[in-house]
Amino acid sequence: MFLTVASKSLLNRKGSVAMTLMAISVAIFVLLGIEHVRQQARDSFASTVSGVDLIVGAKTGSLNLLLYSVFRIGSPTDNIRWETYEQVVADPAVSWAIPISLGDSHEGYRVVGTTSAYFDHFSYGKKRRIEFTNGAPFEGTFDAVLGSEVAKTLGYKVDSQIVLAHGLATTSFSLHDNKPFTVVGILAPTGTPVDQTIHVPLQGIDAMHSDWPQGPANLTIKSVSRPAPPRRNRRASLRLCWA
Amino acid sequence: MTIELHGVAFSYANDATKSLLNIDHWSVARGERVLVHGPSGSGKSTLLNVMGGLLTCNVGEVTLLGERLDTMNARQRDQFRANHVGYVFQRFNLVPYLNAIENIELASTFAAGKQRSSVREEATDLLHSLNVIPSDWSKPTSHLSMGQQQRVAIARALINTPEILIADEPTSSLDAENRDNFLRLLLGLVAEKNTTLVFVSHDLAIAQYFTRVQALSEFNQEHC
Repeated sequence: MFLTVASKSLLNRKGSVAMTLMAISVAIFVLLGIEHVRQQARDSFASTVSGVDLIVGAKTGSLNLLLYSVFRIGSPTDNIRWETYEQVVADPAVSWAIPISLGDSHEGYRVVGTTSAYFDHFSYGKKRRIEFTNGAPFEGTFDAVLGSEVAKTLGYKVDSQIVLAHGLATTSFSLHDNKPFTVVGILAPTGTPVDQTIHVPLQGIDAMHSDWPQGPANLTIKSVSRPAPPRRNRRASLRLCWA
Repeated sequence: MTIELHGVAFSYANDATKSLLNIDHWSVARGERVLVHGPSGSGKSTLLNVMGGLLTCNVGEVTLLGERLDTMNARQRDQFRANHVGYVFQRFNLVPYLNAIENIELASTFAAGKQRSSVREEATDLLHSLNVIPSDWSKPTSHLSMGQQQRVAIARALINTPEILIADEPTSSLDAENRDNFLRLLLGLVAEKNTTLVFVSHDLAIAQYFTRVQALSEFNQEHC
């Protein structure tokens, strides 16, 4: 009897029942969706870089610094001097540091100027090191190491020649075409922005922007966009921040 | 005595200073058919609600069929009402999306000790004797006319063969002819089952159908 009453009652107010159901399902959908996105964002954020305690950059917003240095989103604001980098690295609290220089691109993929410290220390996810599927870290000034997606999409192999462009646009009018780079290594997929990055030596970046002839014997690096110095311990890094 | 009220006082919570009911003593014997009349707002419906256990009085004793209604809790009162009291409301209070038969069956599911199979038979018997045509039985009650709804309401009140039938101005929306037809039907059924009837109306023209006619003011002292 009560089931009959309940079902007839529901049928009698079909409209509001349907609307209620819809409202509830939308609410649940939104709730679950947001929770999912939150979790995903958290996971992807946490897995993009690991083992780094401090990111040092030129004066800018902290979010902007994080976005362009870790996620390769947006443009770097300014460089810090090489002396500053050396000063940071010299601090006894710093166990290692990776300098990063940004601002060039190739077919829309960001170019990162760095040192071999990148391949020694950079890790992502649960402290996983980046690995090579082909080749080895760069040694010469005009060597380049490609992220897996770059190599796959653009069809590059070890020994391919690539020309970098000034600026970040896909179509650039100022190509550094007098200084082509040679691919010496291709990284394994990581699922992070590393896959979409072209890594070159800092000297290469500098040489490209000067009119120096190829094969600089005593090239000095003037500035880097960002050194990423991870610290031995958090306390020490905090102390350095205040200094 | 079927119904006995002793020293009953009642006031609504939002107007506690005005005591709407103040009855020293009032009783109805078994089989009596009482018409209580009085002007609108004089507390007639309140009296019925107190008698039927829908409202509890502030002080005093309400005894129905020898059982104290005022000492029962809400659940016990509901069960008692389902078993012993038939109620016809002023606006019938039928479930609008159920049909006549279902409305009557619903009332019987609340009463104890009824056979499901016999209920439908009794319901159709009642509807027959109240002159509700069979084609109206399966329509939702919201589609029935006032007169038909009224008959269904009576049938629902009588399905559990209650000892007491309480009717709250069910004739107020009827013209004189329909009213008389309706009362003849109702009192015929009541007499058949020797049900005690308390009927409330402001209309004294129907006084001839009742064994006792009383104005509410006769036994209710209003204190302001």
